[in-house]
Amino acid sequence: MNNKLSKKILNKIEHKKIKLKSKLFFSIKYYIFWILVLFAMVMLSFLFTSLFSHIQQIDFSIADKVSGGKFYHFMLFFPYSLLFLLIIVFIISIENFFHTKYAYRIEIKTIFLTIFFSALVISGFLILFADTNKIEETLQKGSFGIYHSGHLRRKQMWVQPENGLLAGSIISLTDDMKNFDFIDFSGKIWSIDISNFKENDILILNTSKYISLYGELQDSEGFKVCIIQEWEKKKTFQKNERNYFKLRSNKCN
Amino acid sequence: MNKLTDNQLIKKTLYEDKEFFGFLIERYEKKMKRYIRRMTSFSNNDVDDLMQDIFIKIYQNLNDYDQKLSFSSWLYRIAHNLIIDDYRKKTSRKRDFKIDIDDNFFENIQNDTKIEKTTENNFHRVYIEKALSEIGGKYRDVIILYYFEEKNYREISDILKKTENTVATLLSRAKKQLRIKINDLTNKNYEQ
Repeated sequence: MNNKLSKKILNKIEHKKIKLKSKLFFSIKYYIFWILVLFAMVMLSFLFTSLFSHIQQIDFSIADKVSGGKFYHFMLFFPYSLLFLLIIVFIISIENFFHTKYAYRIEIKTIFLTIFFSALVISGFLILFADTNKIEETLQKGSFGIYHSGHLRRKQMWVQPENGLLAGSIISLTDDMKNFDFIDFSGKIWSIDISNFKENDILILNTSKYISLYGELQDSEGFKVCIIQEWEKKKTFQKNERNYFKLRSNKCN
Repeated sequence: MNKLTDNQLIKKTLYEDKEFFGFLIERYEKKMKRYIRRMTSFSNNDVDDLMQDIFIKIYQNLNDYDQKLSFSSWLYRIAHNLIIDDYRKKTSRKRDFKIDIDDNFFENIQNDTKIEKTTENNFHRVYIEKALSEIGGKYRDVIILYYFEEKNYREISDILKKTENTVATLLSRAKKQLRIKINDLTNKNYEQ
């Protein structure tokens, strides 16, 4: 090597003790973006699952009435968390595009759409084969604040005792099965009269974590129940529920 | 050492002795110097400083080099980014842009941009040089890489970190811009 420049550079490397950056440093740098993509995809698929199962379970004719109109219902129902996550996914796609080894060979929109549609496909599988309620609970328990607040608003929509609707969970059930204490989604505690209770609903009381009550308001802390249903309902329940809601006039039959 | 490939020299630098890196520097020194001169209007000292920065950065990041990419493309990518950063710090890229137009480039650009061929080739050379200094930086980059450095679409894609489609679009727009600029300059000259 007789070249001046190469000697100069090698001397500088020696003199300034310039070190090679480790392989691990680069691996972490690159793989972190792909891991983020995977994470975003999984989160997105959970949210899609939650959204679709919500659409599947909700009865829009009732929901519109209890939420105070189509616009308000849309605002309550709108998946802000999904929008938020989509923005994050988009940012990750761009970061990936610029900072990983070969991602620049793919169009940004391709990365974004791949994540989006993969999440849709995964959510399809989850809806078909997984317990969507558990996914919903996991999302709420996690530190996913936006999701939680949106979900809470939707829950509170169903707390309208003056219109004969309550939803929440049982605190304690009396031995004679005539009353139980109940906490609604807004945190208020109620004494629930279940003297009109139908026997085949006992199973719901024993197995469901959250329930919806249809009945009439008795006083500031009392509520008489006509129908009890699981909070997360199967589609087949909805027709009966709708008919009941339309027919009743805040009185138990 | 001339018989060793770039990848072999890199391996030897990484696992045997950093002195092997010197051979890589020698192999690419002229090309890099020419590339910097085409991209900038730096003085000799500035070019030398930049050359050192480029090769030191290459050395520091050798573990990041992936053999799926050609070493030349990877080197040009790092060099390109450093040149842009350095040039931004020192001056506006449009100013004082000077480029030596050789016959080969002149012929290729004339054919590709469909510039009217005249006997006044020297005028055209001046116009092309001026037009190159006036088109946008991103267009000039692809023109330099494609015509001067003779890189193909895949290599330019790897150097600029853009898709091959984007490179093709950029090159097509660059040629169009160049043609318009050259025509403008020619017309102005005839009017005078």
